Amino acid sequence: MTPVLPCRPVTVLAFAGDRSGPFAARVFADLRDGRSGRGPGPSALECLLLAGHAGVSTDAGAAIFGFNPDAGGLATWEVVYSLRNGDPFPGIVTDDTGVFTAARQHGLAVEAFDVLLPEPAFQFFVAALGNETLKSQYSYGFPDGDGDCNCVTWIERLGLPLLTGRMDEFLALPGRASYPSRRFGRCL
Amino acid sequence: MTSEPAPRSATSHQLGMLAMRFRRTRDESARRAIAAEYAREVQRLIETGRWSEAPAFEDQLPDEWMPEAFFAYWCPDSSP
Repeated sequence: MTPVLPCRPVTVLAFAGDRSGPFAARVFADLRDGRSGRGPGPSALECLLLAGHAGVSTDAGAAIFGFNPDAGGLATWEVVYSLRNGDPFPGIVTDDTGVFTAARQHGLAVEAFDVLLPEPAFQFFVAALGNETLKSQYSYGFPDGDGDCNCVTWIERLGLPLLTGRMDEFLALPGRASYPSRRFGRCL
Repeated sequence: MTSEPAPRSATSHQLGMLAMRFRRTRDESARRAIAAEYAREVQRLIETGRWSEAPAFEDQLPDEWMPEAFFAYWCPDSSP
Protein backbone atom coordinates (compact mmCIF):
# COMPACT_ATOMS: atom_id res chain seq x y z
CA MET A 1 0.00 0.00 0.00
CA THR A 2 1.36 3.41 -0.95
CA PRO A 3 1.91 5.65 2.09
CA VAL A 4 0.08 8.97 2.13
CA LEU A 5 2.63 11.77 2.21
CA PRO A 6 2.19 15.01 4.14
CA CYS A 7 0.59 17.94 2.33
CA ARG A 8 2.74 20.86 1.19
CA PRO A 9 1.28 24.34 1.55
CA VAL A 10 1.33 27.11 -1.01
CA THR A 11 0.48 30.37 0.74
CA VAL A 12 -1.60 32.96 -1.10
CA LEU A 13 -1.14 36.46 0.27
CA ALA A 14 -3.00 39.64 -0.60
CA PHE A 15 -3.68 43.09 0.72
CA ALA A 16 -6.28 45.67 -0.22
CA GLY A 17 -4.80 49.02 -1.11
CA ASP A 18 -4.98 52.19 0.94
CA ARG A 19 -7.61 54.19 -0.91
CA SER A 20 -8.32 56.58 1.93
CA GLY A 21 -8.52 60.28 1.19
CA PRO A 22 -5.06 61.64 2.02
CA PHE A 23 -2.99 58.83 0.49
CA ALA A 24 -5.16 58.52 -2.62
CA ALA A 25 -5.13 62.31 -3.05
CA ARG A 26 -1.33 62.37 -3.03
CA VAL A 27 -0.95 59.47 -5.50
CA PHE A 28 -3.64 60.81 -7.85
CA ALA A 29 -2.04 64.26 -7.77
CA ASP A 30 1.41 62.75 -8.42
CA LEU A 31 0.02 60.78 -11.37
CA ARG A 32 -1.36 63.99 -12.85
CA ASP A 33 1.92 65.79 -12.23
CA GLY A 34 3.79 63.00 -13.99
CA ARG A 35 1.53 63.14 -16.99
CA SER A 36 1.76 66.92 -17.28
CA GLY A 37 5.52 66.98 -16.75
CA ARG A 38 5.33 68.82 -13.44
CA GLY A 39 6.99 65.98 -11.57
CA PRO A 40 8.24 62.41 -11.82
CA GLY A 41 4.94 60.90 -10.74
CA PRO A 42 4.45 58.31 -8.00
CA SER A 43 6.74 55.33 -7.48
CA ALA A 44 5.69 51.80 -8.40
CA LEU A 45 5.56 50.94 -4.68
CA GLU A 46 3.20 53.85 -3.92
CA CYS A 47 0.92 52.69 -6.72
CA LEU A 48 0.92 49.13 -5.36
CA LEU A 49 0.11 50.41 -1.87
CA LEU A 50 -2.88 52.19 -3.38
CA ALA A 51 -3.89 49.38 -5.72
CA GLY A 52 -3.33 46.38 -3.45
CA HIS A 53 -1.42 43.30 -4.51
CA ALA A 54 -1.46 39.51 -4.40
CA GLY A 55 1.31 36.94 -4.44
CA VAL A 56 2.25 33.36 -3.62
CA SER A 57 4.85 31.74 -1.41
CA THR A 58 6.11 28.18 -1.20
CA ASP A 59 8.09 28.76 2.01
CA ALA A 60 5.47 30.09 4.42
CA GLY A 61 5.85 33.69 3.33
CA ALA A 62 9.62 34.00 3.58
CA ALA A 63 9.69 34.87 -0.13
CA ILE A 64 6.54 36.13 -1.85
CA PHE A 65 6.34 36.21 -5.62
CA GLY A 66 3.96 38.44 -7.52
CA PHE A 67 2.96 39.15 -11.09
CA ASN A 68 3.54 42.68 -12.36
CA PRO A 69 3.64 44.63 -15.62
CA ASP A 70 7.11 44.93 -17.08
CA ALA A 71 7.33 48.69 -17.50
CA GLY A 72 10.30 48.45 -19.84
CA GLY A 73 11.64 51.84 -18.79
CA LEU A 74 8.34 53.67 -18.80
CA ALA A 75 7.47 55.84 -15.82
CA THR A 76 4.91 54.42 -13.42
CA TRP A 77 2.35 57.05 -14.36
CA GLU A 78 2.60 55.94 -18.00
CA VAL A 79 2.04 52.32 -17.01
CA VAL A 80 -1.02 53.16 -14.91
CA TYR A 81 -2.39 55.31 -17.71
CA SER A 82 -1.97 52.57 -20.32
CA LEU A 83 -3.45 49.87 -18.09
CA ARG A 84 -6.54 52.02 -17.52
CA ASN A 85 -6.74 52.36 -21.29
CA GLY A 86 -6.83 48.57 -21.63
CA ASP A 87 -3.30 48.14 -22.96
CA PRO A 88 -1.32 44.99 -22.11
CA PHE A 89 2.25 44.85 -20.82
CA PRO A 90 4.60 41.89 -20.81
CA GLY A 91 4.20 40.17 -17.47
CA ILE A 92 7.10 39.78 -15.07
CA VAL A 93 7.26 37.74 -11.88
CA THR A 94 9.34 39.29 -9.11
CA ASP A 95 10.19 38.68 -5.49
CA ASP A 96 7.70 41.11 -3.96
CA THR A 97 8.41 40.26 -0.32
CA GLY A 98 9.41 43.90 0.20
CA VAL A 99 6.07 45.11 -1.16
CA PHE A 100 4.20 43.06 1.44
CA THR A 101 6.54 44.28 4.18
CA ALA A 102 5.89 47.85 3.06
CA ALA A 103 2.15 47.20 3.09
CA ARG A 104 2.33 46.05 6.71
CA GLN A 105 4.46 49.06 7.61
CA HIS A 106 1.83 51.25 5.93
CA GLY A 107 -0.77 49.75 8.27
CA LEU A 108 -2.47 47.52 5.70
CA ALA A 109 -3.70 44.08 6.69
CA VAL A 110 -2.04 41.32 4.71
CA GLU A 111 -4.45 38.40 4.36
CA ALA A 112 -3.13 34.90 3.80
CA PHE A 113 -4.40 31.38 3.34
CA ASP A 114 -2.78 28.06 2.52
CA VAL A 115 -3.62 25.82 -0.39
CA LEU A 116 -2.55 22.34 0.66
CA LEU A 117 -1.26 20.13 -2.12
CA PRO A 118 0.07 16.57 -2.35
CA GLU A 119 3.80 16.42 -3.04
CA PRO A 120 3.59 15.86 -6.83
CA ALA A 121 1.16 18.76 -7.29
CA PHE A 122 3.31 20.95 -5.04
CA GLN A 123 6.42 20.16 -7.08
CA PHE A 124 4.48 20.86 -10.27
CA PHE A 125 3.49 24.25 -8.85
CA VAL A 126 7.07 25.01 -7.76
CA ALA A 127 8.27 24.21 -11.27
CA ALA A 128 5.57 26.38 -12.87
CA LEU A 129 6.45 29.26 -10.55
CA GLY A 130 10.13 28.81 -11.31
CA ASN A 131 9.48 28.97 -15.05
CA GLU A 132 7.38 32.09 -14.56
CA THR A 133 10.14 33.84 -12.61
CA LEU A 134 12.53 33.14 -15.49
CA LYS A 135 10.12 34.47 -18.10
CA SER A 136 6.39 34.80 -17.73
CA GLN A 137 4.29 33.45 -20.55
CA TYR A 138 1.48 35.86 -19.71
CA SER A 139 0.83 39.51 -20.40
CA TYR A 140 -0.40 41.82 -17.67
CA GLY A 141 -3.59 43.81 -18.03
CA PHE A 142 -6.52 45.19 -16.10
CA PRO A 143 -9.83 43.27 -16.15
CA ASP A 144 -11.36 43.29 -19.63
CA GLY A 145 -8.27 44.93 -21.06
CA ASP A 146 -6.07 43.29 -23.68
CA GLY A 147 -3.75 41.52 -21.19
CA ASP A 148 -4.02 37.90 -20.09
CA CYS A 149 -4.32 38.46 -16.35
CA ASN A 150 -3.38 40.63 -13.38
CA CYS A 151 -1.73 39.71 -10.09
CA VAL A 152 -4.84 37.87 -8.84
CA THR A 153 -5.85 35.99 -11.96
CA TRP A 154 -2.22 35.07 -12.66
CA ILE A 155 -2.43 32.81 -9.60
CA GLU A 156 -5.22 30.92 -11.34
CA ARG A 157 -3.06 30.66 -14.46
CA LEU A 158 -0.52 28.83 -12.32
CA GLY A 159 -3.19 26.24 -11.65
CA LEU A 160 -3.66 27.10 -7.99
CA PRO A 161 -7.30 26.73 -6.91
CA LEU A 162 -8.51 29.83 -5.08
CA LEU A 163 -11.97 28.53 -4.17
CA THR A 164 -12.74 25.79 -1.67
CA GLY A 165 -15.29 24.17 -3.95
CA ARG A 166 -18.22 24.97 -1.68
CA MET A 167 -21.14 25.80 -3.96
CA ASP A 168 -22.42 28.50 -1.59
CA GLU A 169 -19.04 30.23 -1.69
CA PHE A 170 -18.96 30.13 -5.47
CA LEU A 171 -22.50 31.37 -5.95
CA ALA A 172 -22.00 34.13 -3.36
CA LEU A 173 -19.09 35.66 -5.30
CA PRO A 174 -20.24 39.23 -5.94
CA GLY A 175 -18.63 39.32 -9.35
CA ARG A 176 -20.52 36.28 -10.59
CA ALA A 177 -23.75 38.17 -11.13
CA SER A 178 -22.29 41.67 -11.50
CA TYR A 179 -19.91 40.80 -14.32
CA PRO A 180 -21.83 38.35 -16.50
CA SER A 181 -18.88 38.07 -18.86
CA ARG A 182 -15.19 38.73 -18.38
CA ARG A 183 -12.40 38.75 -20.93
CA PHE A 184 -8.86 37.45 -20.48
CA GLY A 185 -6.65 38.22 -23.45
CA ARG A 186 -7.07 40.23 -26.63
CA CYS A 187 -10.04 39.20 -28.74
CA LEU A 188 -13.12 40.75 -30.33
CA MET B 1 -25.75 60.46 14.82
CA THR B 2 -22.92 59.40 12.56
CA SER B 3 -23.34 57.86 9.16
CA GLU B 4 -21.29 54.81 8.23
CA PRO B 5 -19.26 55.08 5.05
CA ALA B 6 -20.68 53.00 2.24
CA PRO B 7 -18.90 49.65 1.79
CA ARG B 8 -16.07 49.72 -0.72
CA SER B 9 -17.63 47.10 -2.94
CA ALA B 10 -20.88 49.04 -3.20
CA THR B 11 -19.26 52.32 -4.15
CA SER B 12 -16.78 50.96 -6.64
CA HIS B 13 -19.07 48.40 -8.22
CA GLN B 14 -20.69 50.59 -10.85
CA LEU B 15 -17.45 52.43 -11.66
CA GLY B 16 -15.68 49.09 -12.03
CA MET B 17 -18.29 47.79 -14.43
CA LEU B 18 -18.06 50.94 -16.54
CA ALA B 19 -14.24 50.84 -16.56
CA MET B 20 -14.36 47.23 -17.77
CA ARG B 21 -16.81 48.14 -20.53
CA PHE B 22 -14.54 51.04 -21.51
CA ARG B 23 -11.47 48.80 -21.83
CA ARG B 24 -13.39 46.22 -23.81
CA THR B 25 -13.95 48.60 -26.71
CA ARG B 26 -11.68 50.84 -28.76
CA ASP B 27 -14.60 52.51 -30.50
CA GLU B 28 -14.35 56.23 -29.75
CA SER B 29 -18.09 56.92 -29.70
CA ALA B 30 -18.76 53.93 -27.45
CA ARG B 31 -16.01 55.12 -25.12
CA ARG B 32 -17.52 58.62 -25.07
CA ALA B 33 -20.89 57.22 -24.05
CA ILE B 34 -19.33 55.11 -21.29
CA ALA B 35 -17.31 58.09 -20.03
CA ALA B 36 -20.50 60.16 -19.83
CA GLU B 37 -22.14 57.43 -17.78
CA TYR B 38 -19.02 57.25 -15.61
CA ALA B 39 -19.18 61.02 -15.00
CA ARG B 40 -22.82 60.73 -13.90
CA GLU B 41 -21.90 57.96 -11.47
CA VAL B 42 -19.02 60.02 -10.06
CA GLN B 43 -21.40 62.93 -9.55
CA ARG B 44 -23.90 60.65 -7.83
CA LEU B 45 -21.22 59.30 -5.48
CA ILE B 46 -20.03 62.81 -4.64
CA GLU B 47 -23.58 63.85 -3.85
CA THR B 48 -24.03 60.98 -1.40
CA GLY B 49 -21.52 62.77 0.84
CA ARG B 50 -20.24 59.35 1.92
CA TRP B 51 -17.67 58.57 -0.75
CA SER B 52 -14.72 57.75 1.46
CA GLU B 53 -12.80 55.12 -0.54
CA ALA B 54 -11.23 56.11 -3.83
CA PRO B 55 -11.82 53.67 -6.67
CA ALA B 56 -9.03 51.24 -7.53
CA PHE B 57 -6.94 51.95 -10.62
CA GLU B 58 -8.80 49.22 -12.49
CA ASP B 59 -12.06 51.00 -11.69
CA GLN B 60 -10.84 54.21 -13.32
CA LEU B 61 -10.64 55.48 -16.89
CA PRO B 62 -7.51 57.02 -18.41
CA ASP B 63 -6.99 60.58 -17.12
CA GLU B 64 -8.38 62.48 -20.08
CA TRP B 65 -11.59 60.45 -19.90
CA MET B 66 -12.07 61.01 -16.18
CA PRO B 67 -14.50 63.77 -15.18
CA GLU B 68 -12.87 66.83 -13.66
CA ALA B 69 -15.26 66.47 -10.71
CA PHE B 70 -13.38 63.31 -9.76
CA PHE B 71 -10.09 65.17 -9.34
CA ALA B 72 -11.80 68.15 -7.69
CA TYR B 73 -13.17 65.73 -5.11
CA TRP B 74 -10.17 63.44 -4.54
CA CYS B 75 -7.22 65.77 -5.08
CA PRO B 76 -8.54 69.34 -5.04
CA ASP B 77 -5.04 70.84 -4.88
CA SER B 78 -3.81 69.21 -8.09
CA SER B 79 -3.80 70.96 -11.45
CA PRO B 80 -5.10 69.40 -14.66
